[in-house]
Amino acid sequence: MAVRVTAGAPSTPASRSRADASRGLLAGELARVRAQAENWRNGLAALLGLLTAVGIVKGPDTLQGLSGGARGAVGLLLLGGLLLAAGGAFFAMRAAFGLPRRRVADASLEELLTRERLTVRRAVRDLRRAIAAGFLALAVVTAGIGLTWYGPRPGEPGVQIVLTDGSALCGTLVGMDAKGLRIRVKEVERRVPSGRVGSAKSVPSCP
Amino acid sequence: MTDQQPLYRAESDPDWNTVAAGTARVTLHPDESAPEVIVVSGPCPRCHHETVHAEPLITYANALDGSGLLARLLLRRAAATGSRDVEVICACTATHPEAGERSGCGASWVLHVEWGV
Repeated sequence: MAVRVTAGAPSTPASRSRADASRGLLAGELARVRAQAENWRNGLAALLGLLTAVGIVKGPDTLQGLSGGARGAVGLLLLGGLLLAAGGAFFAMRAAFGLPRRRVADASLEELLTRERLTVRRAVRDLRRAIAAGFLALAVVTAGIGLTWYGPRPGEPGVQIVLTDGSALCGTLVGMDAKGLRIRVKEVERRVPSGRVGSAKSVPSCP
Repeated sequence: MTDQQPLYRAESDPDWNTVAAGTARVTLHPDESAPEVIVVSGPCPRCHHETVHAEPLITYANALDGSGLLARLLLRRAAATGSRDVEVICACTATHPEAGERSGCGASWVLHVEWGV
């Protein structure tokens, strides 16, 4: 590819004003993009802080009773959300503040200008990545929290009683007194005299 | 020796366009296939001091604005078409009388730059 330069049309006051304005356009560009990135960084941090607060309030006890598959899915979703949030935070901060590194000094003004353009372009790209990662983290963590609330729970916790004849009953303990205990098995209340009770223990769910 | 330098005057002359077209060094950055800025360097046709001008083809003034995206798409198409009139204002570092805070001698000239030819 070649570049050809010829004399242009005569200058006008309007074209001169535009040329004056364009001189300042490049100068403040990186600062403007970095200021935007810093504001987005603060917004995304607040958003993810809200998620953290929700997660703490609900706590790990909400995983109780969830099926094994659901627990695994919740774990993966929360881990994925955390990694996305960390990645988004890194991109936002790199867009806002840059990342100093050792490099060969620019030998000419052209190289310096090129590097400045590339820096601005990289900052814009990082900002977009940060926003995408931030909202994706929000979606993933929301899905994980939703699964803990509405995920499949195979059975309700209950009491398993082994009788002296070897048979077993599993259900919800309704009440107990000196004569025996009452247990609800599949919606039917049954009474078991104390003398027939061999052992009893609580179970996470009845079959 | 500021009294030997031409006075600062914001003016242009079509003859300067022709002179500068022969002496200017023009490069596109980062590359000619997708340029974002045109860099023009060379002597000012009025005061003869070296000056450099960077003409933006792509800007990121509002990186996420919808209209900004459209403007950038349009600008990218403009950048892809391969020509632009660039008005260069002298920004030499010499001290010119009556320049005040401004740099250069005040002269401006227009170059027609084509790329991909």
